[in-house]
Amino acid sequence: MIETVTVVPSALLLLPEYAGRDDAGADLRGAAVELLRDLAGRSVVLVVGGDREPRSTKPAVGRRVGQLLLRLAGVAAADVVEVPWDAPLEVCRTLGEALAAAPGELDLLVVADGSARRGEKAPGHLDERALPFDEGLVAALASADAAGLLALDPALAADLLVQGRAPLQVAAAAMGGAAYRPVRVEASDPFGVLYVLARLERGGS
Amino acid sequence: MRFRLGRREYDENARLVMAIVNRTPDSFYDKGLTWAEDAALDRVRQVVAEGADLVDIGGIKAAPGVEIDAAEEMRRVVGFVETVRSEFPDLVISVDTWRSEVARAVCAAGADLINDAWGGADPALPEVAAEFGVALVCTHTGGVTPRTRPHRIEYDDVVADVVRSLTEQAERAVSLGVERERVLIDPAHDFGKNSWHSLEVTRRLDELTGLGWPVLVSLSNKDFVGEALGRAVGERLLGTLATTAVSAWLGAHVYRVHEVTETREVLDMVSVIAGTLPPMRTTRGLA
Repeated sequence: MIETVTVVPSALLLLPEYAGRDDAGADLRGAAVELLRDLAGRSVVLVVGGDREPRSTKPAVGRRVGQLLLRLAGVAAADVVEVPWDAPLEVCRTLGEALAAAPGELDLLVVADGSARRGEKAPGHLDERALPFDEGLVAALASADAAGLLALDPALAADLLVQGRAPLQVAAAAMGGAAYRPVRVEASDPFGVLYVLARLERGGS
Repeated sequence: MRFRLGRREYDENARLVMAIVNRTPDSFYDKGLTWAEDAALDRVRQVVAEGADLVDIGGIKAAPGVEIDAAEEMRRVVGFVETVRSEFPDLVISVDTWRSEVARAVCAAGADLINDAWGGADPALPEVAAEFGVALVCTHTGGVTPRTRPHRIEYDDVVADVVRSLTEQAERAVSLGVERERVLIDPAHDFGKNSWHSLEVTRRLDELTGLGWPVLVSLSNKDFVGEALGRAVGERLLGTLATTAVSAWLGAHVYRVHEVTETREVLDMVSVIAGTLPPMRTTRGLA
């Protein structure tokens, strides 16, 4: 059974090795770490997407960011589930249902972003469809709506450079039909990419 | 390699800006702009705000001109050093003088560094630095008399002469009691050198930075820059900054300059390229 689902961003600028003297990721990293602290001692499974444009032999950015944030929060990851960033919905469902069927109580840490096409200065430039897509994604989290997350369109998400669609759908499938309530959902896009900090807990609202 | 100026300690990656503050009515570049004490103090405030690591206060222009005796030189700089010291307790203060009696007076007034621009013309200068525990800059002038221009000087190998002279002066300073970590060497571009010499010293600066002493370079708006580009005084900033970048890449540590903001930016850029200073802020491709 999945006890909690936590969502954090997947930006490379969260990794200290990419920080300048003025650390552009400091605030976001700090907020994400704070969100994770209460997971200490729990059985945390990291759910991440593969890289969209891999050029190196390094582990996926989402995996490294998730592991860093957990380490900074003093939390150990019991396991990691990595799904291709553009995995079909059925692949996500299968992975999520396996998590749901695992023995014991699990807490999921999903490293996932919305669109990277939210403005003319955004990494993927502006796509007018990005804002409504992201609104749907955030609304689904804000209402702990697993079905809403599973309804996100993989093809549109790919067009919009959404790094988090597949891992979010793994988590949504793991939530299954159980009731969850949103504890915290915050969205921001300081660089034209939708970042989400969110926590859902099992139980009625 | 580590070195010390005042209470500060630096390593081999340091690239420090030493701002020129002239208490002279006739220096070649500023032509008396900071001759008045309040103007000079404003200059100190400005260069500190611009990021200078130290100031170099001088009471006599380098070029030939009206003779300034030690008493007049002291009138120009000693009280001013006291004033600067009281307003900026932590600022590293250098004084540009070749005279040991002037050096003694400014050290008593709070100077941290004696910048002997004339190659040890006064052999007692290191003893003063030793007595006060301050730093000393040793310079290469080819042995010319202070305030004379080089005329028809040739070297078999100018860099070899620089290395020999500076090594001798630095070791002598240490033998007289100056702390090894407070001895700097300066090839002194344009001093006892034609432009071919200064350019060769610049090109081969790594032979100096490899000696293990911190290296000071004084390039700012000098004639070798002007002759390299065909530029008059007042038109040499870009040439100076290009020379600064090359010198920084070759490992010089202290840069004696008129233009602090521009120099600081060039040095920071070189440090960032060299990987010894992180970039200011990075988000490109990382969001």
